[in-house]
Amino acid sequence: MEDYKDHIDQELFEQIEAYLLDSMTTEERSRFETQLAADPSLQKELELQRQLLAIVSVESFNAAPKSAPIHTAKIRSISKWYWAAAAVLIFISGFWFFQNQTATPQKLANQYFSPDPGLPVTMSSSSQYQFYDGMVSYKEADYEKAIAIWKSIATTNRQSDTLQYFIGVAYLNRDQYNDALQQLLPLAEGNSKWKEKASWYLSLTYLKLNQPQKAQKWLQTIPSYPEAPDLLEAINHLTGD
Amino acid sequence: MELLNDWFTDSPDKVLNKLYADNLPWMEQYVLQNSGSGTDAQDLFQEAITAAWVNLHTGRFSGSREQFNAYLRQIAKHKWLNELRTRSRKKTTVTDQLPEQEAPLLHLAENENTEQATLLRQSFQELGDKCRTILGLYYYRKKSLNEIALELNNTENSIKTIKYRCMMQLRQLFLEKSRQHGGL
Repeated sequence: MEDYKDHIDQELFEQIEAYLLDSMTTEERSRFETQLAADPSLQKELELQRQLLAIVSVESFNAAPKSAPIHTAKIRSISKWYWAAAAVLIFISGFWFFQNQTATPQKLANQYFSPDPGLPVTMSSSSQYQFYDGMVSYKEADYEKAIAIWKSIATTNRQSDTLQYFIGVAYLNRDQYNDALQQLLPLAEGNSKWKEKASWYLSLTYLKLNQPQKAQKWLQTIPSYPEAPDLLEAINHLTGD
Repeated sequence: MELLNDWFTDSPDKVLNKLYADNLPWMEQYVLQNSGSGTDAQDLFQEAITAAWVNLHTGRFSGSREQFNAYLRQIAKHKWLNELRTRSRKKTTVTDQLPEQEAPLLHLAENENTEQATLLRQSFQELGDKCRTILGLYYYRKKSLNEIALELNNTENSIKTIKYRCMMQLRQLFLEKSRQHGGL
C-alpha cells in the first residue's frame, strides 16, 4: 500500500483520466506513455484509476432502473417490478399492433427505404477529386456537407447525371423531399444509367410526401428493380386498388 | 488489444445494457432451477457483472464479447454456488447440491479476484448522492461537463472540480478498505 500516494493533484488526475478515456492527442499520449514507462508509481496509479472508472460505470448501471428482458424461465417469485414491466410491455405491444393496423404511405416508405450506399471512393484524377471528396462526406452520413461540395462543382461544370443522382439521394436522406424531387425527376424521365435507381428513390420520395398515386406510377416503370413489385403491391393494398 | 478496443468504442451504457439483455434470462433460468428466486437472479447479475466488468477493465479478462458472456456466467455460477453453501449452513435443511462436474469450474473462477470488486462496490455506495450522480452522468452516460452543468444548474468549472473531488473520495475509500483487507 505504500506505493500509493495519499493524494494526487487535479492536473495529474485529469491527465490519467484523459489517457484512460482516450481523449489525448497523439502527441500528448506518446509524452504520457514515455512518462509512464519511467515511473512505476504512475503505472500503479493508472491501474487504480482504471478500476475506479470501471466501478463508476458498472455501479451507475446497477443503480439504473431496467426493463426486464424477454425470457422463458419460469419465475417463482415475481416482484412488483415485473408486473409493472409486464403492464408496460402489454401496453407497448397493443400500441404497436394498433399502429400496424393503420399503415400510411410514409410508414411504407420507411419500411422500404435504405439510403443509397454511394460509390466506392478511389484515388482518381484531379478533376474528379471534389466529387469523391463529397462522396467521403456522403458515406460518413454528413449529407449536408456532401451536398455543399457537389453543388459547388455542379454550378461550375455542366452537371453530370451521376452528380445529379447523388445530390438527389443526399437530399432524400436529409428528408428534403422537394429538393430531392427536383434532382431525381429529370433522371427518372431521362435515359441515363441512373434512370432505374432514380425512379426507385423518386417513388419513395413521393410516398414520403403522401402522394402514393405518383409513387405507383413510377414503380410501374421499373418492374425488374428488386423491391419494386413488393412495394407496388403494398401501395395497391393501401389505396384499395 | 484489437478485441479489447471493440469494447471501448461503445458507451458503457450501451455495452452494459446489451450484456444485461444477453445474460439475465440465462441467469434467471439457472437460479430458478437451483433453489433461488427472480430477485436472487437480479442480485446475482449485479454481483457477477461488477466483478467481470472490473476484470475486463484491468485486463484480467481479455477476449471477445462472446467469451465475455461465458466468463460472466462462470462467475455467476461460482457466486451462486457459494451463496447456496452459505444458505445451507444457515438452514441445515437444505442439502449441499453442488454437482460434481462444477468442481473444475469453481477452481477457475476462484482466481478471479472478485473480492476486489466487492470492495470497489462498497466504496462507490458510500459516496454521497451528489457524487454518484455526477460521476454517473459523466463516466456512464457520457454527458459533457457542459450538459451536466446545465442539468444541475452549476458552472462547468465547478462540476469539473466536484468530479475530481468525488473521484479522490472514491479512491480514498477504496484504498482504506483494501488496507483493512490486507492490501491489494
